Amino acid sequence: MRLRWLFLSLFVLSVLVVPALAQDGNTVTDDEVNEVAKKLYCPVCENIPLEYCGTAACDDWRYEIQLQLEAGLSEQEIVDDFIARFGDRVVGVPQDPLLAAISMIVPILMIGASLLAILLLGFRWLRNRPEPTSVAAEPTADASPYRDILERDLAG
Amino acid sequence: MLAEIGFLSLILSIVVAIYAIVVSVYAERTHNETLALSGRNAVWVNFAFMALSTGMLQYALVTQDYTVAYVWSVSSPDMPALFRWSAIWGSQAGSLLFWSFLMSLFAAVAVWLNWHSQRRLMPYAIAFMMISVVFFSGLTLIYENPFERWWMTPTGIDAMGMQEYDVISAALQPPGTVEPSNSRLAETAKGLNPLLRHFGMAFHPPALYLGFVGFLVPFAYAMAALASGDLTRDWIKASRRWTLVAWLFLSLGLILGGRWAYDVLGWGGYWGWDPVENAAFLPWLTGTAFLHSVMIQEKRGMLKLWNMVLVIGTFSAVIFGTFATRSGLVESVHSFARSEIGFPLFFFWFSLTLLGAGMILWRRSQGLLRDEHRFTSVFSRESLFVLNNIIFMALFVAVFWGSFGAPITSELFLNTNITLGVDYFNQVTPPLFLALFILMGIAPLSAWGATSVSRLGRALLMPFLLTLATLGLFMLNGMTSIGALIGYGIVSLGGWVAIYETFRGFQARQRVHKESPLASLRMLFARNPRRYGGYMIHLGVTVIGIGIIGSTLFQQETQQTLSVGESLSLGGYELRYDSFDGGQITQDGRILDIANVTVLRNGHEVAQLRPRRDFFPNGDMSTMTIAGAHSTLENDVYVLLVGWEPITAASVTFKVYINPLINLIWWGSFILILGTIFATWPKEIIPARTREALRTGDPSLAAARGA
Repeated sequence: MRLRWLFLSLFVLSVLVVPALAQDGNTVTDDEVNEVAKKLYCPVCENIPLEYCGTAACDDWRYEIQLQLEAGLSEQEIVDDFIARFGDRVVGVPQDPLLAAISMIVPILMIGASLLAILLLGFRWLRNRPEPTSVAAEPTADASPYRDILERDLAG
Repeated sequence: MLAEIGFLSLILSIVVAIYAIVVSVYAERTHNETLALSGRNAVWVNFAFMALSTGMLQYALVTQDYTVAYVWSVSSPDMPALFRWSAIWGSQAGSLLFWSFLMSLFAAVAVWLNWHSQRRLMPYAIAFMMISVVFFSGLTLIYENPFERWWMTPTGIDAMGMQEYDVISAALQPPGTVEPSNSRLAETAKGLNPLLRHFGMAFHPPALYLGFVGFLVPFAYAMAALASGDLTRDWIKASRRWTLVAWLFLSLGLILGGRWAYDVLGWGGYWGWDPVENAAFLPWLTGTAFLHSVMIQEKRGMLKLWNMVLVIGTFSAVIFGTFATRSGLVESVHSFARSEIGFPLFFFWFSLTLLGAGMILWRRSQGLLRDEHRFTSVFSRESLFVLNNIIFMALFVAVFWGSFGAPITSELFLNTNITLGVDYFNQVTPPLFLALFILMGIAPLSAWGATSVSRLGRALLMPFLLTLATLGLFMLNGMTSIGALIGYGIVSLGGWVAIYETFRGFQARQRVHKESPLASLRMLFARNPRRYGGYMIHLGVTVIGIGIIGSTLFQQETQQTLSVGESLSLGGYELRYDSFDGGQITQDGRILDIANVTVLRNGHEVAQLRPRRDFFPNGDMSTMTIAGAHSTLENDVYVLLVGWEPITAASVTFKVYINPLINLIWWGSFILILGTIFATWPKEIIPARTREALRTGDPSLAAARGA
């Protein structure tokens, strides 16, 4: 009888202790979840970072991130997992090297080409530069307010 | 009845607009003044019909006529009166009608103000303005008619012997149908999208629309100049002030949108590089470039071709943005659902852009867009303005590519959907913005025609010293980040140049005129509103820039769950969760769940905040998170209610942001808007009688002017 009570007590204690231990093992904070969520985008409302979106789908995804962090996955592993399952749309920059190059480099190339064109024009100007002429300072007095009307009338 | 009047007025406005186009072009080709006047008057008649049509829809909204399908879809009996007014732009159909009305308004005002001063351009300008009005009105009429009404059509008798009905919508009453009961319809009315039930939404859309539509007038003048061959400075003078007005409203619209996002989207930020935000930002970039380069054409007769490209390109960007937003081309939080208007909008944008490009090339081939002078110095004001334009165009390319170019290209050619998010924009745009701020500091100090490096250096000395002093203040306040200090320094220089140049002008007036300081300042702005208004705009941009750097680089955030009485610490503040007021019902039917939070600093209470979540049980049963914020010039303590334990709310999850210097963005915006108003204000308003007397050479002019 005493032994039965002992085993029953041990059983009750284990039922109480294990969840408490599980609670103590959960050291993932909301901030850590949000740090990962910052790198992902909402699957429903495009262009909304996962950290800010209030849809049920995003709530589920943030919970999934929490579970993965608790399981010991790193930030990058979690992001890679989401990309593998849901595609490049879940991140702000495409992962495929070609697409990444197209996305990030093309505007830089276009801007660089424009600057190069300006430099070439500048060199051409330097070679053909005319004598600098001074321009009269801006008149401090106001021009006649009726000059435009007069000019138009004279022009007919 | 009112809906039918609105519908008929819309049709008549289109007919009159088509008449205005045909008659104006014909009058110009045949030099028929009577027909030209008829075309002019048709613009005003078009406006009258558009105003009547829009007025009818507005009246239906205000008087809650739910038999009008649009009213049923965007309004409900429990909505406050303010939102019943703003509901006219609450959905696609109403916003398109409102857009058409604004286009018609701008055309009517442009004709009224500029008919005499720009007589040579007006007939063609009327034609191009009315083409746009016809297109958007037609789009409204054919695809998104806001005047459709609900009708009940009998379908049969049910088992109880009662007549069964289906509800359909149509512009005119179909045979055999009956009108449903307004009160029954009111019970199921959907109401306005909760995101639009914010004070800012009463002003952000109309400000943005005024900005977009305002660019129609300079576009029309530019096209009229190309069509008529009158490529003197007339079209530039006609366009500049209209561009300023459009730019003013576009800037205001962008700022109000940022403020709305900060207040209701619940993410502690104000600009997310959302595709629709970017669609509004693109014409702002080209419009700003035009406002600078137009000065070169006015002063030196240069960049004629480039200015044409800019002003036509700006309106093209407006139409493209409209197409991208309303067709669902790239989904975003703003986008309406995909609709049938995508293809017509694309066709209109493509045709307009092609026509503009073709006309520019045509006149260029005739030598009519040749510059009158050449660049003579690298550091001249015109050279620096050209550099300024290049950077604005680089920003345009970067933003366009990130929002539309890359996603569309990858989907069309690589069969892959990609999103370029904040990471892309935060990498590509900051260097360009910093370059712009550097130019903002240097260009106002350079002279037209020629400037030497030494002269520029001497002019920069005092503003540079003031900038260093500003950085010293930042460092005394504990700022140690070298990157942030460089950013603050570059941004501050432009502001100090603006202040210093204004001070020098003020000082000069004081020496010469011996006025009171207030009189000197007033006369300084009155005599040259464009210059000093421009300095004020630059100052506003500087203040905004400082606010952006502070709130972006030094934002702190945390998310924690607190029990009643528990506190969290962040950025020198302590936030204590006091209590929870759940299930509060408002007059307009919202259910509010409110957390009460005390903010302390150094042990002293500084604010009581009430972050909340609003639930809208009517309509689509959506929620909105409203932050509680304690705002000072130093920072915002911004608290969001994320979640709470059901029933007891014994514990509540908060997300807290500390946003340093964020309120400088709003104050800087105020300075920018004020500066733009000054810059737009005419130096002298000539009474109509005097104008007419001058025009006709009336001898009584001398008496009228007191000679």
